[in-house]
Amino acid sequence: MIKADNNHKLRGNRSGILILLGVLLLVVVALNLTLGSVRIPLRDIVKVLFGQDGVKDSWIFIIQDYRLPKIVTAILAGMALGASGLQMQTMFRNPLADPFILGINSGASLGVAIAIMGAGLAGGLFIPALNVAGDLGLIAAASLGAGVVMALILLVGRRVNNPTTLLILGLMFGHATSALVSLLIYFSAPEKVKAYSIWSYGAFNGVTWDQLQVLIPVILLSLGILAFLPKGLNALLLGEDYAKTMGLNVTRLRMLVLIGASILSGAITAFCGPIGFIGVAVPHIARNLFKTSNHKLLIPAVILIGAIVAVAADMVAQMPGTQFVLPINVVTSLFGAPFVLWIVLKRKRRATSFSV
Amino acid sequence: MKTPLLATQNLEIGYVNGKPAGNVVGSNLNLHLFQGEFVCLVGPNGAGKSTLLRTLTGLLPSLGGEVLLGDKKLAEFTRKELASEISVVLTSPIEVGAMTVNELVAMGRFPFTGLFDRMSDKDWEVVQHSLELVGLTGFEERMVHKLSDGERQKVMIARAMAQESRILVLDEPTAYLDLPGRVSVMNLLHELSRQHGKTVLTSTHDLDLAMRSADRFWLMSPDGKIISGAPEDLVLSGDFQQVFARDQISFDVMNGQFSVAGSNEGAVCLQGEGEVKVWTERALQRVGYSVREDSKQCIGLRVDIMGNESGFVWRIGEENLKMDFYSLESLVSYLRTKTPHA
Amino acid sequence: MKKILTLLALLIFIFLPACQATTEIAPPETYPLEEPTAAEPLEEPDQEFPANHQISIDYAKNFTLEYKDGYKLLTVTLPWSGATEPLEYALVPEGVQLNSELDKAILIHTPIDSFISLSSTYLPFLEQIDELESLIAVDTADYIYNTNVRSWVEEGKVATIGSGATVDVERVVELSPDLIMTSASGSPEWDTHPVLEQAGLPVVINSDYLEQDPLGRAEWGKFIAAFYEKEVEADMIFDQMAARYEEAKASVAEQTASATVFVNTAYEGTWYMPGGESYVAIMLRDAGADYLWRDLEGIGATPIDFEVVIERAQNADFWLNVGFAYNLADLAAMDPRYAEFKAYQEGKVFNNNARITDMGGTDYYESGIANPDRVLLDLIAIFYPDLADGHEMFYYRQLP
Repeated sequence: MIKADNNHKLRGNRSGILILLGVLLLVVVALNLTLGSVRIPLRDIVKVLFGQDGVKDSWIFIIQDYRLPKIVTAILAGMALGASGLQMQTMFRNPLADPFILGINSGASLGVAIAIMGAGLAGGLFIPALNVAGDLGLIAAASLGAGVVMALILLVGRRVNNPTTLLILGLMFGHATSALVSLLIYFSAPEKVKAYSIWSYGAFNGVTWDQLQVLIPVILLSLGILAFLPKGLNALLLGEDYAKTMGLNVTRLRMLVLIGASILSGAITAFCGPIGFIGVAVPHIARNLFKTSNHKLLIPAVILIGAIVAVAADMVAQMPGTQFVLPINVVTSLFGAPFVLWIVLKRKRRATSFSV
Repeated sequence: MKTPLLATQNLEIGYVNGKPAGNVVGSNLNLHLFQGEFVCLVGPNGAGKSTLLRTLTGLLPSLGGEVLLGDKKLAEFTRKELASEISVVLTSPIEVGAMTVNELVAMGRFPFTGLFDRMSDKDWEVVQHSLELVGLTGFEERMVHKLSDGERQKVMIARAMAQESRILVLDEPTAYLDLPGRVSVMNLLHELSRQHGKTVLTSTHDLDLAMRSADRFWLMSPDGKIISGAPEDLVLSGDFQQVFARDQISFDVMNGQFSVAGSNEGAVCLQGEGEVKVWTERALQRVGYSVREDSKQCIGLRVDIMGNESGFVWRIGEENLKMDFYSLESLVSYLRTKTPHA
Repeated sequence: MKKILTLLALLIFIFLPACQATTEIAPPETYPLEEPTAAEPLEEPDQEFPANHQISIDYAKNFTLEYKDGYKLLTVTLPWSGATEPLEYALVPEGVQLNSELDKAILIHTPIDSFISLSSTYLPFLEQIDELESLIAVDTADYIYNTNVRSWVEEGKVATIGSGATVDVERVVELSPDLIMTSASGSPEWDTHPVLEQAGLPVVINSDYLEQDPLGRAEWGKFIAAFYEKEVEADMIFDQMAARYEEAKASVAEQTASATVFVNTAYEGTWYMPGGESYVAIMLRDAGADYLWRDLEGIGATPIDFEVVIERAQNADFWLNVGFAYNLADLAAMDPRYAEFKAYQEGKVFNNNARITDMGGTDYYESGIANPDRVLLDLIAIFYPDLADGHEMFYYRQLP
């Protein structure tokens, strides 16, 4: 994907770093596969991966049906959130933008909140079959919520010229849906609120292989849109006026970015719950690592780095060796918050991070 | 009469604001831009210069009338086609981190590089050439945010040049630059049109520099009318002064300067020659004296300049009093003490 | 172009979950919407006791009953988790003059005639002592199993007043109850009683759910009965029930080959297991089963990683308390990985939703609290069918 333009662009060490990142990803995946609550020797893991016999049934199951889908989910989530965050930061020229800045997340949360807590209020709508602990209902509800917000954003995004206006509208959608969620929480019994909270902690390990059959193509397709965007995103760095005079169809670009980024973040939220900080932190790591704002390099970079961060976070959340599990959001926040602080403080020196 | 590269017919510019007519900033504009010209759009703040430029470049829709490039209406161009005709430099220096000069200038090749932005050898040659034109050879790998404001604007001009459009439109490109920066940018624009045949249209507040380099002015008055002509013609016809007239400010046709009308302290006869005489005159005018040529009929205050470049002496003669001063500063502060309200 | 893109995006979102390859969850029609029946006590009390017979509290740890000069003192030693102060209630019979000071105790005149219940667990106790008709309001009828109460609510004879900070205080004041009984959590945002106390209403805190011993939890029937001056009656009923419980427990005490069992389901990939000293764990132990997480400290539900559960419980004999699943297909729809458990494959999955309303209320959590002997017999019937002695499962059912 990297164009080794003439004699100028890609210095040897940049592609070298990318390769290194790829290797790092493999390492982290291997570690995650090995370290888990249940101690499984590396030898047996390898046997299972290569389809050989001689391994305890429960271990085969754990590796194939639990750890592998979890890692795949984490990789998808990291890629999606990193890419989505990068697009949002460029489009709004704001280093603190994250994939959920347009309220997609809140829409998904509202969908889930209604599914878990709203049913009781409607008095009589509660169907035991819509199992709170289940998957189908929640994913559908979250997708619907995210989809509605996304549709609203797209409708508005066509008419509004100023990206800042779009940003404010997105924030307002976010606030409105959050308020509705709070309302539901206020009127609901504690067990339901707890169930909702647990959803909002985020989890990679709730996604099964058949769910992945849907998630994988959705994420890959949306990432595929990105392959056509580096030029436009680079132009957007100069601002929409310059981009227009350079021949870019800014409205179409905006639509593509919105659709792509929304699907990426909405789908991940629907399947895994809201996952914070990866989207905002990974683009900055990429920019600082490669010392560039050029999206031709940044896009593959955030995809790789996002995957690495997500798989690593999942590994930490597993608390290897113990049978306990931390919510993903706790891990990402613990590492993310100091990182964001660092970015904000570093801006004063106007170093190589993205400046508006 | 050559055909203009760009022309407007009864153009009406302004903003849509919900009213049927919109907020009209200028109307009935019939302007022409010819190949290889350097035209400066001047006028007081708020006259609508930015609005006009944004309308001409397609960034703002017009409220009425037409803009024609050649014989094709502006609206009939796709963005990409338009990019080959017009390139733009805006006022504020771009704030992008982590981009090299080469990468930024290379963005000027966007209309030509296809979906995946593949740069060919020729594209890189154009980039190189553009950098040469603006005098930034050797800056290729420098980071954009580490350059001075003036250098950065030149990079943006290089980018616009790399776009290889026929017309280059700039919106107050020197607004945030220091004096040497301004001079060098205006010179560059002049050179681009003179020596490289570019058609350049720029708005500016640097009237002095503009007057010395522009082929034509588009003089825009606050009521949205535009008068076009050579700068000197506009001065001699009085149009210039009229547009820029304000209380307390007048344009001195003789020396091409704006001056603030101060108090009138009276007349001084000045005798001297060369540069020192010119600057002595300015100092005296600064404190409100009008200067008359030295002649036999000089009554009242007179100043004689004596000495040479190694040391001038100013002698004030008044009635029977003679005083010598060795710097204009001391001369002027003496004159100030004479006039209680100076 | 834009419209098409927008439409596409919307479609993707709406059909995202529909593309799933998993089976549909069984529709509600397969639920047995038969009329729920009231749980009847197995035997009638048949003994007479002298009027001033004093009863003792033997199993419950969170309340005490003391006989004072002319009145009874009920002390809730642990009103809520983490409470530092006990709550005292002085039950003074109508017309009795007190000689002593009451200190911090709240005065309640007995016997009470009207009762507001904010938990469905109190209702079976009322029914046992024949005082169900004193009920004038409940928090909500949604999850109540008791048919009588449900029909009274529908007829309007029993009001619904909500709970928590949004409880309908005005309605309660209008109803003028002799007693309102509720549980509390200690956090003012969730609790009902601060709001009611502020309005000067008589509120009694009941912390039966904090009892982990099944008999201890059932002993709270005496707590409630005391307000009706019927604690002696309640005591007799309890003794009979406790005897049955101990008998059942003894019958499996000699078992050497214990069945292994695990409980609950995963939520978002994490399993919440009850601790080794919890109500569920004690019941399983008393039923002679080997609860695979009895080493887990505490009583609350601890989040356990799915893979640990697979590792430890994959070959467990039985799987109990599977949330809202009504049949095995439900379970598979929740998560196809559940099919890996041997208990699933052999169909040895049991749930406590044999007696369930269409709103999801289960009698296991209602009359089951008052009749732990029945629950224990169910469990024994599950683990040791030969010892069941013809007992028909009452609260539990096998998942088809």
